[in-house]
Amino acid sequence: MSSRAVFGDFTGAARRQLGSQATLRTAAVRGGHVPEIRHSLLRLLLVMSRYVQDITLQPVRPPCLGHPPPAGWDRAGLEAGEALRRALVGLYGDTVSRRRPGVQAGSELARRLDGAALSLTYGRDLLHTHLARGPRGGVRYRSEWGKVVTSPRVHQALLAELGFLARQLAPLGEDLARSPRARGGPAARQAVTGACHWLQIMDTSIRRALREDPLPARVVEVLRVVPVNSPPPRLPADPTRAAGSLPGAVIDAAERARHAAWISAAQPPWPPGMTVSSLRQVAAANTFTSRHCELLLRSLATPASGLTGEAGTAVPAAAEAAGQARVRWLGIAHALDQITTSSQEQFTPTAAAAGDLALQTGRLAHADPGWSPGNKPAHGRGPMGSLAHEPDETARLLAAAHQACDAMNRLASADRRHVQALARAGRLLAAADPGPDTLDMLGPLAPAPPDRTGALLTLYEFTARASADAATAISEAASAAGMPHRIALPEMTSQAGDWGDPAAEPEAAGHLAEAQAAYEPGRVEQTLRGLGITDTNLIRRGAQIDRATEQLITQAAASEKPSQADPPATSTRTLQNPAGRDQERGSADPPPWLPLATTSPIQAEGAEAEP
Amino acid sequence: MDRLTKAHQRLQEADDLSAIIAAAHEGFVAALTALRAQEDPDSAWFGEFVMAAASAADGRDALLFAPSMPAIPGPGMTVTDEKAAAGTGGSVAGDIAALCGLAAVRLALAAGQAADPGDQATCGRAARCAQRICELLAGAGA
Repeated sequence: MSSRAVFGDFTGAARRQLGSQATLRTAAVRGGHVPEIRHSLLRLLLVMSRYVQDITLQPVRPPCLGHPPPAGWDRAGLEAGEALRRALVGLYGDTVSRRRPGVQAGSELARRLDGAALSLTYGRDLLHTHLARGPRGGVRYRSEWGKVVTSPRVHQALLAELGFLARQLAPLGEDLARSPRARGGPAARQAVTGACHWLQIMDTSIRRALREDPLPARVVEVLRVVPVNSPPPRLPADPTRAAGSLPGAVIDAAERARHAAWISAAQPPWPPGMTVSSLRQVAAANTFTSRHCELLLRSLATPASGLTGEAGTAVPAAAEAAGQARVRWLGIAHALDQITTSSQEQFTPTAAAAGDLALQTGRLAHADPGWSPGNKPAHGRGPMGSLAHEPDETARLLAAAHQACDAMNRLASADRRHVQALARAGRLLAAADPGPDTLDMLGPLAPAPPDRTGALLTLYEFTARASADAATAISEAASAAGMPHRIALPEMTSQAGDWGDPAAEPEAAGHLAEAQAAYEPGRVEQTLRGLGITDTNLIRRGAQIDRATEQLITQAAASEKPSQADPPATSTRTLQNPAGRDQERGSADPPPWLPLATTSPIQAEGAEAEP
Repeated sequence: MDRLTKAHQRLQEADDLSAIIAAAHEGFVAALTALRAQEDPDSAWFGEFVMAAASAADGRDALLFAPSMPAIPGPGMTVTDEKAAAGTGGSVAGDIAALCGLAAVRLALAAGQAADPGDQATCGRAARCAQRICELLAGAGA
């Protein structure tokens, strides 16, 4: 809904560029210059290994006396890093096949690998826009998303995404080895095959972690929606703009407000432009914004919106919560009437962003792209909510209101810090002896007494909470209505349960279902692991034996004539349903002879999209 | 006579810089008081009144720091027992817009004529606040 690039755009592009397993296998069968493919695979695995390095920057303590060996996701991260390192060692060393930058690969397979490598590189760059290195080498957040992208759960989601790619790539070695159209010496073939074996191990390890400690769908969604750290640009007012674009404009304005709040927090004691005028502008604009959200939600609560049952009560409750936020913001506006600073009028970026949010929410609430304060709503088409007849429209309106309330929460917290800093510096002034019921502020001005400052800070705290409560209430209303919605910015907690959300984006649920496809190690590997063996070489050999066994069984089964009850076999079945994949499905999954298009949305997506 | 009308009259009659600043200050206080008294979430003017109140407080504060602001309030400036404003949201908005329109003009002229840079800056700042209030309440009475 926002115009900003998000991480999922790049992982999605990488998946599409690789294509489904069937597409990738077809590309492998078509062959090509193996040293070139080897080099393209090297580039892709290099990017993947950088991702793994990023998420295992905090080194996991190696097993030693007194410390248990790493388990679960920690172990998966270590094993993935080690598998990629070994794969890269095997692939390095071929300087002859390196292409100049900008020169396209000759084979389809190499082109697909190059495309995926490039997309993943951009995706990694996007994540890094939220982080910086501090003077002592530590990680510094450059945006509010910094905390998200460094959280263990999001790291695990990233590892799961890499595991998916590893699984896609793992069969390539054998396919290429069997392809009569692949050209190149045995060394290059051996390097690719060896790397693919390591990818198989990486996939195995990650899927084992997924099985032991499943990822909630919301975590996958959070990773997908991490935006680039650059606030969306502010577009000039355009009265002819379609009303359908108004929710997106609110979301963009909310992003800008959150960004401004974050930047202001990162500045020293008090921003130079911080004045009582800025505080007043934020309070007044947010009073307006919360009123707009309240209007919007109330108009959604009408019978015309079709929201019934739990949603029928949750939406009015959300409107009530937005009304409470409005009361709180107005309370701050009143309190600031009797406070001043020695300099005024300069507006901080937070004040400008809050004003813009009020403007955009006003346009949405009045369904009028040309609306502005002072331009009365007679020009509008009526409350936007009453015009929403489709669930999609209602979902967009709820998302916009949710993001606006979340942004107000951040602005309240940011201004609370500003008030604190101004008070500490003695720049917050009040009339020394204010008369009753007078707002003239005449008489000597003195630094605001602590009780006055304390009361103002408490007001900000309550207001931040009321805004957050409104955001939560809207989120709950969306969940009650069964509408997928994106969280504005997840709060990071250590409790995995906090991430669960039944209304998370269905796309994320699809990705997760794919990633979490039940994995059962083969008998040999299972026995080795059961014996407590962690040596990756031994595990790898065990997995190879298991895989060879599966292949033998699958080939034997394929040579048998299918029974009457079975659908007719097609020549594509072998490609779509390669040996070894069937066993990875859960027992409730369809039998292996069903076309793959019916089982996984991700594979279907990849098969349709040709680069 | 309500406070808005009285402040409007004082501003019209002010004949020197100090008197203009003092009358404009009283005008901002009167506007702020009237706007706060008229805040009704169900009113079509609610948002505009809240935004205008912020500008009224800013205008008042700007003049507090003007070098030519009289130290002791003049006669009639501290009267608080009279009504802030009379009428409905729309008519009060119209009265405030008229008062602030006058303040914007008089303060802008005063800023141009003041000798003290402090007065120039504060009058200019207050004039912009008055102008902003006018823009917000422009639709009143239309």
